[in-house]
Amino acid sequence: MAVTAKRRSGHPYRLLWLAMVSAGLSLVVALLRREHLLPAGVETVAVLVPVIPLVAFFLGFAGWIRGLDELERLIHLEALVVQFGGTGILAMAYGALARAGAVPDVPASHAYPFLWVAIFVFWAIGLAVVRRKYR
Amino acid sequence: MRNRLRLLRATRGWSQAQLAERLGVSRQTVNAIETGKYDPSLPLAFAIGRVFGEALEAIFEPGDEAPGDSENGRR
Repeated sequence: MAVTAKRRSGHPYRLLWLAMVSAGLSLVVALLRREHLLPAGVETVAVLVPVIPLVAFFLGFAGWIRGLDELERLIHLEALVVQFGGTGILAMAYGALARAGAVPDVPASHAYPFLWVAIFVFWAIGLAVVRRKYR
Repeated sequence: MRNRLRLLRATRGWSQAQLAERLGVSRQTVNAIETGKYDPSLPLAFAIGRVFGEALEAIFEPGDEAPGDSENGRR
């Protein structure tokens, strides 16, 4: 009867290796794109290379969550609810204000970095609030 | 749900961290159970019973809440 899940051995190193390889690939792709050395079809696929470290990060995050004890997992679940709600409400409110002309209308291709910031800020807020509840 | 975790731990002279280590959970989890802020899962409750050599009903007893109201963190 396992109370806490155990982390798979070697998993973080595999992810770190994957992240390093994809970071190197991203650099090569960026240089090739700058010099216009990539065929049009390949370039479209190549722009997605920087997404690979992100996938590796979330796989690592999921593994880390599985290694936590049951209360920690509950805390993170509740923090994710805060994150999901906070980010969703913020994005919706900003969109409504942008349509009304109250704030600059940022295109989605430029807005996503801010969305990541909001996701991590709301996650941190959620963690702080929920941890306090179980202290 | 009420429990005698703090009393049982004190009689053995264990700190929360020591009990947490025996149970394979964090000290925060032990503290949250002792203060009644968190009700452990059945596997963890059995692990607690095993560590203290007591039956579950000797450690935990139902509170005033109805079965559907025993959600964690609702205090």
